[in-house]
Amino acid sequence: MTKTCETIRERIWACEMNDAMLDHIGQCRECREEWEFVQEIGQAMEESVPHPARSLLPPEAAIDHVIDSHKKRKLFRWFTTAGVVAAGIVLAVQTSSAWTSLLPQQNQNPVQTQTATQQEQSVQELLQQGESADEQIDLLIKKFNLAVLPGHDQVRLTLPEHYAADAKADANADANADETPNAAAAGEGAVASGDIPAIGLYFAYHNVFSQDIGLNLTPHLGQPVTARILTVAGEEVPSHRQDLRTKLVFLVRENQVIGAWMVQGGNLTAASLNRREFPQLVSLPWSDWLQEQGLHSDTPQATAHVHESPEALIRAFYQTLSSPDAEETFRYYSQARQLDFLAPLNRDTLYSTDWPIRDGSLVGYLARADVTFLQELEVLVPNAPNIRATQGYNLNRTLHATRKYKVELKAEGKPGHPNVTEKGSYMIAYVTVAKESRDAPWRIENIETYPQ
Amino acid sequence: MERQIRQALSSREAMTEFLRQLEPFIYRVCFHLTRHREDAEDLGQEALMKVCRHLHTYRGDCEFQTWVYRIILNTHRNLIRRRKNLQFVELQDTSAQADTFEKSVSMKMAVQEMLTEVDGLDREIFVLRFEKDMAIAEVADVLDMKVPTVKTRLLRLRDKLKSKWQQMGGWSE
Repeated sequence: MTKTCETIRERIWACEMNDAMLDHIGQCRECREEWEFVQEIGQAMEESVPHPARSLLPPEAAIDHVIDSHKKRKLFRWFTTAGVVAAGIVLAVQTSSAWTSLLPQQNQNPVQTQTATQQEQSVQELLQQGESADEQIDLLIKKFNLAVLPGHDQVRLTLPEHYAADAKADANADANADETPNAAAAGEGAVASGDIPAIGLYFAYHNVFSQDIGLNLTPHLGQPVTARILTVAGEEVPSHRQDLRTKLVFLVRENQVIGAWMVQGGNLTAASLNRREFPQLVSLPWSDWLQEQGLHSDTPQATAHVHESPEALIRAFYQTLSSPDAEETFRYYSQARQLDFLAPLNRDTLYSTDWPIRDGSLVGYLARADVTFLQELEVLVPNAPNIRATQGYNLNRTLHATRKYKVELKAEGKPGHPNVTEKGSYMIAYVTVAKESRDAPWRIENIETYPQ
Repeated sequence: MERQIRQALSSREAMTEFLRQLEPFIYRVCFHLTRHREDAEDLGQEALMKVCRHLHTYRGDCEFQTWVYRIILNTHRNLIRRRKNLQFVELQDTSAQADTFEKSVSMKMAVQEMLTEVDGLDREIFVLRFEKDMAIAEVADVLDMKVPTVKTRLLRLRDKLKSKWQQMGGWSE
């Protein structure tokens, strides 16, 4: 087989043929056989499908509901447009003395001239039409056909210096603070929340959604920003639950929108304003994506938390509970789990700070815990499943290995906890550990109080 | 396509007709992904419902077929996720199998066996490539993957399929 034949056969499989290749197929028996083989596959696939036993169409009531909702949406948009036009007329009448000079400016106002061509504009071009972050947010909401409820929350924070694991970030819990166009002023009063594990990963993950619409957080790392949080009226992303409101997050720096995404409830449910979720935007498995982005914390610098065996890892994990560095415990979790803990939207801090090490959570109420007994369970933990889930910490992941342990602890509780006395008592935990990739260390994946 | 969608959103009858035209195509893709008739019916029904509910969000920034493929694939992935805690065993559809055994050595059997054995992403690539004779660039677009990655995986599938075919005495080189 010649090099040409090899290339042509690959092109046959890739469906990338041209006339010259078709000529070659006419003359070369082996390539023709390959061509026929590929043709047979399509035919075989078509023939192998049995007929469905029932209609797959949605019930009539469900279709009626969709049609009604669509009509209401159209009506809502019509009223919105009519309202904007009416407001423009009132404004024009009020300023009639300056009518002539204002007219050209009104025609250029992007908020009032929303047309079909605007849909085709790139986000960057669109943002240039907005003179302030408020206007830019309005334009983005219209471009992506979103309807929002009145009002918004505002959080001031400083982006981490870099995305790599363990980057530092300062956050300010001053919700509803006034927006200021001055970057330095936006950072004023920001309270350092300490060395937050995985905060860089949090912004790297959300930058994926910003990038999907042509924005990028990377040039703004280390800078003070304001996060505006709006609530979407209605269901927008297929995997989002209908009973929870989807939120829109716009990051603003110097009165310009620099990033945007939508998110719902807890877990990793973020999506781009294009309604595309992580697995649709990142074709790589989770661990490969971390590697590609330089975010894998399994580097030599981060090996302080590497333990040779899952047993050693679990013992060390519980020892950290009595460590003065509270965040130390957090680092023993897998990276996806760390991100999962941060992901729920918080109106005061943007990301959640309700980690498992905090008071009131599963391990958070323990002041001290010594492992007295540890046994690997012979239960079916999905080993290296091909799960490409759209949300939760299983997002786009293929775990290399998992194990589950029954762990008996002699634990001392923090003052005032009803179940664990300060003097100490025995308790059982079921700990799942995982390797996120072949070379990754064992990490804590999940802890339960009962076997599943 | 925009006109058809506008029309579909105008009345129940128009929407039903619109979905009826999509039904066979969606079901076929679902069957290739699940390899089981009843699962394909459930998946197809859910995917059709999603098409119906989200049709108004289709903005023409990709081919409509690509948009539908993405809905099917995401719905299928969600289905797998929902079943992740169960010991998920893929069942062969008996009606298809019976037909296959009649033609004991055939391309159909090799394709079916191979599709049953490969992982989810490989199956998606193969189904997209051959269900509608899609070019590899389109497959990459639907799956949001890079073309060389899809090509590498596809050529690996080729080798697997040929090996199956060879085992059945259907291939000689």
